[in-house]
Amino acid sequence: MKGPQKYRSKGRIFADILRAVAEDGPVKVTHVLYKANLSHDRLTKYLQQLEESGLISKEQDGDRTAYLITDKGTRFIAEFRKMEEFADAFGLEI
Amino acid sequence: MFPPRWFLPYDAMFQLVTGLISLAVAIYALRGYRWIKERTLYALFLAFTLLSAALFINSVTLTYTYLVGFSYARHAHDASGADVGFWIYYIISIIALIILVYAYASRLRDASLVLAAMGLAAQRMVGGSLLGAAPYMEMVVIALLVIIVIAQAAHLTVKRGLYSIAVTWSFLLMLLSHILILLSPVEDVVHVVGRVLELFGFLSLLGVLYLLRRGR
Repeated sequence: MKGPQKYRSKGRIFADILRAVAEDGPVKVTHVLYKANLSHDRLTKYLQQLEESGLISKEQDGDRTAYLITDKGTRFIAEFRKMEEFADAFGLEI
Repeated sequence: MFPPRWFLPYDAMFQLVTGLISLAVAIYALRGYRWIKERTLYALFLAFTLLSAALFINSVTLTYTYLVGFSYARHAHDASGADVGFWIYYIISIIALIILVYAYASRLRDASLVLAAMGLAAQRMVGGSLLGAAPYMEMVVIALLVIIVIAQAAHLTVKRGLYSIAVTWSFLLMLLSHILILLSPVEDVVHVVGRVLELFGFLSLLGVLYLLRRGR
């Protein structure tokens, strides 16, 4: 049986989505859906925000849409990791 | 409670160095906040910015008291010039520590210790000069640092990383430093030891920052 789900901040959700996109190259929404553990509606909203922020880019091939991480997105993951360690040093979570 | 006169220039320098370290921590947290937009990082930025401002003000006040030739031993009841600086230092420091305590709030079970100390301090401070109120202000700072150290120690029982140990160590040194400063009327050297411990506490924070930036 699964325990109660841990609260994930928006920054952490962004990082989870970006990691999923970064690890497996151009990915479809269903792939990210599985990896980031989000509902379709929420994921669509976050993917749009990530695209608007320039952290991911969209590739359209017919009716298939795939997502790619940008340099800014890669930098976000690195910064998130550092800040996770920084906050953790203070016994805090981000 | 106040430094011996010969130590004033060193004290001012120590406060300047700790202020700069505090500012470096604040800038690091702000950089993270700009990327990630997390309230926790903003709280750290705000707390350390205020702490650095308090330490800079204390450094300026100590320099001023040294330059005007003020002696706490001789003017125990007439320190209005230096009072303003010390009051601002204590008030800003306390606000900074309260922000940190709030950031730790999820780990806290009992904040009554701080509230009791703050109530006592407020009661004693009304209408008085800092020379009379300083021990109570120190007590508030100590109570806040006790909560932070307890929260840090609780975190260490779950996760014992190098950075967490170093940050716990720095807050512990800051706590010891303020306890010693509270006890400094006993002997001048106690104040000096207190300030040295505070400096080491902040240097430990600087070490964490350095390793994080290097991406150990």
